[in-house]
Amino acid sequence: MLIKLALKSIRDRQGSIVLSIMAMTVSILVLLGVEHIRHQTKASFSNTVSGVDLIVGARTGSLNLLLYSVFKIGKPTNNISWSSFEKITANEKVKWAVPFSLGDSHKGFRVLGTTQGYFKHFKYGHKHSLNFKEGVMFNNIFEVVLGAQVAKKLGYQLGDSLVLAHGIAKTSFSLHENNPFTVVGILAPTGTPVDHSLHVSLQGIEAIHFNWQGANSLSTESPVAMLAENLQPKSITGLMLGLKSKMTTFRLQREINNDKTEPLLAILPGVALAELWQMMSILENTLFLISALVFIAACLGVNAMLLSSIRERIQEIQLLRMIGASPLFLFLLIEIDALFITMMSIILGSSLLALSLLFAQDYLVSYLGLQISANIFASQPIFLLSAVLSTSFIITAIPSIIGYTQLQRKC
Amino acid sequence: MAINLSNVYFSYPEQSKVPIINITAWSITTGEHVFIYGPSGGGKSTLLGLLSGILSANKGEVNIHGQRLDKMTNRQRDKFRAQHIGYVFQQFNLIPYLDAIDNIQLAQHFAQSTSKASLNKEIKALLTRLNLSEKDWYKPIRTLSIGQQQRIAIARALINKPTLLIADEPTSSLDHNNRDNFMTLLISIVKDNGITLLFVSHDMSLSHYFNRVESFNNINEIVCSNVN
Repeated sequence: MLIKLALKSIRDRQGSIVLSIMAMTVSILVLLGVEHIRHQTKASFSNTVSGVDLIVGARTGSLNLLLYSVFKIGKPTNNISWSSFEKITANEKVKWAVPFSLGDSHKGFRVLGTTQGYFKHFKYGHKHSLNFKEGVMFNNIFEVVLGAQVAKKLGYQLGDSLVLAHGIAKTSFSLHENNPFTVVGILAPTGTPVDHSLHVSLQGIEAIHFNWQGANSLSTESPVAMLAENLQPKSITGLMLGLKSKMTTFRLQREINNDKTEPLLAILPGVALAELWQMMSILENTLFLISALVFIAACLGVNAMLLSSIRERIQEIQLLRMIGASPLFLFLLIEIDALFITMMSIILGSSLLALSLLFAQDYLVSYLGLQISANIFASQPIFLLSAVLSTSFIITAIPSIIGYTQLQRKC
Repeated sequence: MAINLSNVYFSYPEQSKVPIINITAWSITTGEHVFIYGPSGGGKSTLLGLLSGILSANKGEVNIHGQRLDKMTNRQRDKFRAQHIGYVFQQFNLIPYLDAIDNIQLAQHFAQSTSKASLNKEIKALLTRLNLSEKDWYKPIRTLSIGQQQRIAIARALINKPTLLIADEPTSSLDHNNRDNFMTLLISIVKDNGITLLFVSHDMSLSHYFNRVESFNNINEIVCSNVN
């Protein structure tokens, strides 16, 4: 009888109830949206690199090494010698090693000199491999593979030619004009800094710097370009390592960090990423605060609506009291109103958010570099929505009690 | 005794020093039909609130059919009211968005006295006796006339077979014809069922339906105005 009465009452007041549901839906949408984006951003940030056990570079701070090697932010303090790379690679604990060289750019996008192994071993997210949207990986010296954003923003297609610039400034006057590269591959979007990078071979990096600004710049037509000994890197910016056993990670890290021949630093990307996110806790806390404020606003909105509905229904409540309804019955009658509004808003808000994300997913990856999943249940919303529901239940007690007190005065 | 009040004193909590009801002794015997008249704002509705157990007296004994309401908990009073007291108001007797059947079933729900099958039979019998045509049983209350609504209100008040029926100016919104029909029907039903009737109104022309007529001012020792 309670449910029947509550539902008929809701149907009778459908105009004001629909408005309340709309207002609450917007609040829940924002609340869930902000929370989902917060979680996804954090996850996306943590998933920038995966499957790499150690990153090794010249001795510096661990965050600095992480920033320049993974996020392509800032500059490396120094290079490391090729002999150190060979020494580390020869270590029995190492399963694979991918060297990389930084320092050049193209129209503001960083150039990463590396090997073909990069496309095989570098992973992001939940161990997703890099996929090619078009073309293949580089095979020759003057071939380049573009990140998805680079191709999109600069409008490059397979077969296009481009010139790299020395340094990382957006506008550079030191161009390697004599050695243009040909686009042979375009990577699929990843939502990571890979999208904003150009990938060339280490030999390509060596080639554009060979006798650079001297009389003899290397030409693609020159047979010299084919001479491997001239293009053998003397130094690199760093390397990524995959180990045979995770158990040996700390031991190898210690060995590298204590190396007497060259000052090196090995970091665990996961640990360094966590440290970096810790530094960004102000942003996270701000987002959390916004969520909390939106939630409080939503609860106050429902409260105000219920209070005004109690005023409209005071005679009905008075009548129910007179025919024997207990205060608990009336309390539950009002609570069902609040729970109905909250439940409907949760269903509508969640569906709207999931649909919006589904349609905006490509846009978010392409224009904002945010890999946001449309699966909103991936980021603890059950806990959040339970909290919304319980808080709404508890807060609704206030208008219920006020309504009951008013009723006592009117009798 | 159907009603027995002894040294009953009541004031609202927000104006605790302003007494509304002060009755030394007053009673109604079982089966009596009592008409109480008095000016608006005199405290009549407050007295009805005390008798139905909606309000609780600050002092004194409120005895209904041998049960002390002033000794009961709120829950016990709610149950007692649902099972033993029928109530008809001046207006807003029914939930406007429910139909006649649902309104009457609601009153039965709080009393929890009859099985659903026999209840439906009783409801239909009552509505038939109250001259409400079957096509109006399932219409929302707000689509029915005031006269029809008051007849359904009687059915709602009687469904739990109350021993005491309280009517608070139930005819004030009815025209002359409907008022007389209503009164004739009400009196005949309460007589047939042996129900004690306490009827409050300021319309003295109705007093001839009752076997006892009393001025509220003679019952309540406090003269006040606009307590509501």
